[in-house]
Amino acid sequence: MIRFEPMSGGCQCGALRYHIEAALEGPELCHCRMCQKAHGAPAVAWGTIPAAALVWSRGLPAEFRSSDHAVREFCARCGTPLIFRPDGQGTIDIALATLDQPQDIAPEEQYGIDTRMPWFPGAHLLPAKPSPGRGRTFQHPDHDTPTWP
Amino acid sequence: MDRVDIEVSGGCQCGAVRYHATQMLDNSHLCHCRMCQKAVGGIFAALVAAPDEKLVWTRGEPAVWRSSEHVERGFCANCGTPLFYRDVNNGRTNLTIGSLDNPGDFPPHANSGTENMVGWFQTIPTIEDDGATEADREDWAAAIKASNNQHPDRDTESWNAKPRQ
Repeated sequence: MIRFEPMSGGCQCGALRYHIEAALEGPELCHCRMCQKAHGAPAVAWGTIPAAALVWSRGLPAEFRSSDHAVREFCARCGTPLIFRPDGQGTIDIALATLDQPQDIAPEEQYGIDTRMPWFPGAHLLPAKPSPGRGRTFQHPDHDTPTWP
Repeated sequence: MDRVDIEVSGGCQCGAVRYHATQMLDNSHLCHCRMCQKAVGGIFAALVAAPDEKLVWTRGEPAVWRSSEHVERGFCANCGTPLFYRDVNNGRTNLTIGSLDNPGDFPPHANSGTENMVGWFQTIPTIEDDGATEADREDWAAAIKASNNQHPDRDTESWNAKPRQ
């Protein structure tokens, strides 16, 4: 039996925070043009849970109906895209990067490879360097906070 | 940093915000830092910059959130699409590659912010390919395509963006 740990996450500015009360399933990396545009990114890593297993512990997201069959939820204050909610399926997809600990879940398949960036499979071979020192950040930390900011 | 004279257009998913640039910097890169991961809701941001004086907003205006002392993050207030990262001191705007109309035009040269790179990034070439968007899950993909409210990947003379709910 897999031991399940509740997980938390949220947007960059901290106006939205959520808890997940079921194990994330079917983690995948989606390269479809809709996800690329909605996140401004080459691909989005998703995990699926029953819709009832997501609880908003702070705030509520804005919604954009991206097609007749799904809604994308984001933070109105900082723009962070968090959720893909297909109609009538009883499940939601959570952008894994919005989890407080995103590195723990690896995708098991890639979808939408027709629009995958040609450079994507080789990206891990590019020269790499860590971030330089930065000024003060206003980003919410990667754990729950009793109040914010 | 090299500059390239090139016509570039792009914008958000709903089409309410569109931009155009006539010159780009040769700085395309992937950033894995925790700030970029959160801002794009992805494991890394892919960014390429336009000099501020060569970038115009051709429809609407981006909303902006100040993510740190020197950095602004631009996005569409109607659909949430992350559009740019901008250090206010540097005179350039790093556009999100996914928001470009032709995202494949600027392959990245480097990975930065590697301190937060997810451990499985190195294994990406081994993750199973489940298929093209319309090959796998055909009915679902066709249904989305038939009702997609997404702006096309080119400029349009006019556009009615679907309002957010």
